[in-house]
Amino acid sequence: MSPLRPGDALTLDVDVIEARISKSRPELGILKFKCTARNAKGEALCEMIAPILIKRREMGQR
Amino acid sequence: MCRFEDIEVGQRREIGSSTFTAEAIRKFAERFDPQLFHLDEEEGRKSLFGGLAASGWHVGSACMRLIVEDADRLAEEAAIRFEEFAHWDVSPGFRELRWIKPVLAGDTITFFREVLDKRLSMSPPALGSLQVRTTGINQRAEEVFTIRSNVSVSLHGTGG
Repeated sequence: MSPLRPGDALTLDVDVIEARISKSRPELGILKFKCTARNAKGEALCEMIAPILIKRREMGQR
Repeated sequence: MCRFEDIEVGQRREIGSSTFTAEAIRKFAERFDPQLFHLDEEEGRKSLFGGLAASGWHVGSACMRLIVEDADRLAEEAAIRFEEFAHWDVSPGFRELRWIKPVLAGDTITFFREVLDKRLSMSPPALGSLQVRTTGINQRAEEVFTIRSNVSVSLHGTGG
């Protein structure tokens, strides 16, 4: 991918590509997202696919 | 590990240690990862981490610094022996970055690097390509960090 050059301004796109409940810890959700950093020309400089843990709404709560 | 030809798959090397003080954790987080559990002791304790925890990017950055310093050391040692040394070149990226356990304030992480695979890339410029796993172990011998990266290595060493 393109290198980051001095003066570049970056734009970050974040897409959620998966959302599920953790099997081992059902009180947690797992979001998988894809981040793409682009320069002003729209060229992708880096891409990252990563999961994060996120708390779920507690039982009985709306 | 001087030239690409000398690198053996399975080679494992300790590349150095880094201690994550509360102050360093906060400083890094303020600049690059300002989430509360990286900034505040109490928020860290309340979080899944159970204490003030270093940003995973902080751990990766500290590891990167040790990799560079280790390469400089290897290059110096090679120069003393009048041997060639192939510096690791740019990396096109990595896979499987894992923050296995939190790195908490006061932890010391020791990093190891293991060569998983090597191959020649024939598309010009001719480069060697390495697949490397770097692992971080804390002072309780728990694995806290791993990353599998691809690195290019020039085929002809410099110096010598």
